[in-house]
Amino acid sequence: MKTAILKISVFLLLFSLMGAGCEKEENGYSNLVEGYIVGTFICDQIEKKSGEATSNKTQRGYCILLKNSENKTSPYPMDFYTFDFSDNPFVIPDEALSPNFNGNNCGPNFFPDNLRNVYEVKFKYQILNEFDESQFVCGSCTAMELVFPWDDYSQIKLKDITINN
Amino acid sequence: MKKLYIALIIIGLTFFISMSMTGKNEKFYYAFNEKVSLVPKTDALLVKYAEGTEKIEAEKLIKGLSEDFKIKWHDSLTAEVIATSRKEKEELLLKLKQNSLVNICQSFYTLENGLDMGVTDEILIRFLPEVSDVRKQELQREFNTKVVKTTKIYQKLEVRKGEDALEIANKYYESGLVEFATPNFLSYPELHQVIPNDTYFNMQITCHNTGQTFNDGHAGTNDADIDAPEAWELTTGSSNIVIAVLDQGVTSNHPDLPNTRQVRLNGSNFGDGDANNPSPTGNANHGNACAGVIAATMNNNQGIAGIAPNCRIMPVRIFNTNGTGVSPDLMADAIEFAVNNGADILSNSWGYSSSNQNLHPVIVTAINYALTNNRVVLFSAGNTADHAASNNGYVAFPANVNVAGVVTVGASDRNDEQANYSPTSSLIDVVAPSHRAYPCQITGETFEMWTIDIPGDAGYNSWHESGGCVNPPPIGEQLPNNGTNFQSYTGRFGGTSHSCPVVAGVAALLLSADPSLSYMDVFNILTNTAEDVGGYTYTNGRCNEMGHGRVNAHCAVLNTMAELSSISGPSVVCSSGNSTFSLTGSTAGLTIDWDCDPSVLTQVGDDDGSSYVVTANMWATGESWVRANIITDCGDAITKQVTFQVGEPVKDDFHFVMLNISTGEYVSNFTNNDGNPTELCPNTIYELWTDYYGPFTIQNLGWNLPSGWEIQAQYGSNNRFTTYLAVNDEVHTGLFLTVQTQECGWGNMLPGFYFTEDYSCGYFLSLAPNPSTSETTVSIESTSEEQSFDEVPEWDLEVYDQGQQLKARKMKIGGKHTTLNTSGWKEGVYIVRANYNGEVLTEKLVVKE
Repeated sequence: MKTAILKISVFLLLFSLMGAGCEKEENGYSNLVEGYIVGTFICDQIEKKSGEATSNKTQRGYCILLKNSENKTSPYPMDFYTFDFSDNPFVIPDEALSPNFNGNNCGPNFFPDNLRNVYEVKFKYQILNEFDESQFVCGSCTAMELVFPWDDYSQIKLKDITINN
Repeated sequence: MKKLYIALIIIGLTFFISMSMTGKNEKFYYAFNEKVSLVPKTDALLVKYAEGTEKIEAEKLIKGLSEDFKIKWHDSLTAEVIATSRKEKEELLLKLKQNSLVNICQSFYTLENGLDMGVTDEILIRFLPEVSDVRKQELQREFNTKVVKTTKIYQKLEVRKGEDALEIANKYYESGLVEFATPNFLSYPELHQVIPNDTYFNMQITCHNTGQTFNDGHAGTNDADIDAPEAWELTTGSSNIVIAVLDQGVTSNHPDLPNTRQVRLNGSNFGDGDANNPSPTGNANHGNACAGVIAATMNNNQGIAGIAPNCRIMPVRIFNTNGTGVSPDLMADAIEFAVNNGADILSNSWGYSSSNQNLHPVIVTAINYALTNNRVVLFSAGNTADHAASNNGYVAFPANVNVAGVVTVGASDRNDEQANYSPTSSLIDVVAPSHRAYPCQITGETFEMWTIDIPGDAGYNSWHESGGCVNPPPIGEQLPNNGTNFQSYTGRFGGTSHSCPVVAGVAALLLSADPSLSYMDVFNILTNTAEDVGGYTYTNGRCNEMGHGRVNAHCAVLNTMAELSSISGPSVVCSSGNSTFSLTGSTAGLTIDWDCDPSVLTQVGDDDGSSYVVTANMWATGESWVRANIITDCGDAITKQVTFQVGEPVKDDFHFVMLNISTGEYVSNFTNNDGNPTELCPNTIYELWTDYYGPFTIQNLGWNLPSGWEIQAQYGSNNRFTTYLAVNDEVHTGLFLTVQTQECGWGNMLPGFYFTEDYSCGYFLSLAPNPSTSETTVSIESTSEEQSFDEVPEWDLEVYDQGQQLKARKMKIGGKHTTLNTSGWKEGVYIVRANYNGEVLTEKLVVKE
């Protein structure tokens, strides 16, 4: 009886570890997830030490909304943003990429509704910590709308990217 | 049946009691034969202090009971005291009635329409012509009143301490012996308001919030506004004041902002497109929206009213067609452009998503340039908070710059509370109304501020936006959807973008009222007159939610005008008549309490607020003052004082120059020679120039001369005189006195200056023989018989040749004479110099072989 209980315990332990492995990140990265590129932005780089803006622009940043994300219906339909894509991997039309940022709220320029489920991507991601993040500032923008809450969204780096054009 | 009777009796009794109670509590006065109801204020008392009570003492008494009580002075003894609740008012009433400093303390009344009607201890009455004096006196004894003033129109009676003037006035009237009898009501004139006829003005709760329900179904709180109509009673601005709106551009010839009210300049578009055209593109209405809030035309039967509707807008476009702001260097260029082209105020409803105070140093430097050139610079704080989600946000760059004088503007809401998105920060200076929250923060909230829009379908009316945290209306919905040029206006503006131009408009009113204000003056007035609303904890006048509070245009302008006022009056005050002083400019909204230097002056008559009459006390002289202690309707205290001279000129305002016309030598040049007597020679004529630099106008100058002296001639008037003074052979040390004729009449004698005898001018050297061939006698002689010598004069003698070489010297000569042996000297002229009693006497000696 004692042996049986022991076997069951070992089995449960191994099972739980295997199961957990399906959900947990691998080397800090998530498992493969699916989502859409829903907007982009190009802003001004910040000099980390002083916090002052430089005259250099960031590379284009991309906003990602995960499939089935609760944020789909939020005012800002995105879960993360990343600078990890090379130049326009999806051949997004220029008119959707302009302007570089939203002049009403200093946030990203989201695509129109008809393009929000078009640029599908699978990837593994890791949320960058403060020190590894690219620092940037968007603006200027008018002060009529709510300022885009950049702090509510994580900057991520990607790997194992699959693009479905 | 019996039960029915009992029921009827009970009902009847109840009715009687309630009627009698109602009758007892009802307050009214007789306006001739009409009973006019008076309504006690729930929170206010009228307090009249005993004669002689100092205001400081009176305020200490009230504030000692509660710091929350507000005091509104009517005159030096009468005040309205405002409690925070009915209960506090009742408690205060009991306490003050028992205080010996208080003569009258009772509820402050209003008419049913709200007009203040305070009852003091005075009654105005007019008896019927047939009422005899005896009967009048009987009534006065019966009602315990005394007459304090009688005119051909009325008598003013005073009731005894603790008596109710309202009740007594009514008794007088009910005696049937008077034409009228009313309390001498303390009735503040209603503060006039300018309510414009602009179609959507009733939606502009920023300017005038009456608690009205507006377009989105919300209703705010009465008076949670900037009191614009009250400010407009004082000024609607000046076209000389120009406000640069650095933004998305302003429509040319907008129906509510024609080009005559814009300063549209070549080179004012720093965005894309034509550099000389600062008009908006696409739906970019943000610049219009800000400009309209500041300066939309008032009373044109359409649209809205700007806060400074006579000032002008300088559009400076700093956004591109795609909505993004121009680069930082162009931002700096735009600021410099506005400054260099004469904008007085720079209104900036834009920023960056950063809390770094030096994010773009070039913009910080440009802001400093604007301030250095005395421009008022305002920035919206940014919409970065979500207090409903416990997010305090941050003040965005450049509103956060660490530069004193930049006005950082947050947002309050329709209830005078912090708007949900307005950041909580020590960097907030003031707040101004805007919409309450974004719909993604608080369901049901939306933009609710009204302003101008790009005419036609572009801009915010119809609505074109989608997504983000904005989307309250369906795309294409119109607001407003009726009225003249309705698509040139919008009811969908908000954020700190709206609050910033509100404060810019108030700043424009301030500069219109007083163009000499510096940017720091404007900053201080805006912050000092802002209202501490919202129930937050204000420490030293500010809190992080609201800064120094919600701006109040009326209080700010009133304060500016009160500061601008000055006391006009005579520069001199005499005891021989009355002198009237008055406050220049409008006194609307000001309570003025005058006082003066009691040691020198006496008030004449009653202080009627706008002017003040004094006379100088007999024999009073010197400098004195009159002071106007001004309390604005907003409770700000401002003191104005003027100084002047009383009685007669003072010595220090005279300047004397005295010339010996025999020698051409200046013997004195002084203003006050109390310590240095002027030395005069006997038997000499002096030319004396007298100039007066004081406030009097001296028409004639007189002299009180020592015996034997004589004024040979005198010319001059209006403070400048030339006098020829003959001094006889008696020069006594003494005081020379002047007498003047001036405003106060033939003035008293003033100390002129001391003089003393110049002993040197009476002596000279005598040489005999001269020319000399071998020997000559040198003597010290005197010009007058009285000129005395020391009994045994002792003096020194030196002789110099023409080459200034010392030829002979004798020291300590005793007596008046000495001999000089010149034999062997070359022929020529020699200078003989004697030193006697410190005076140098010289004479020429000719030597011949």
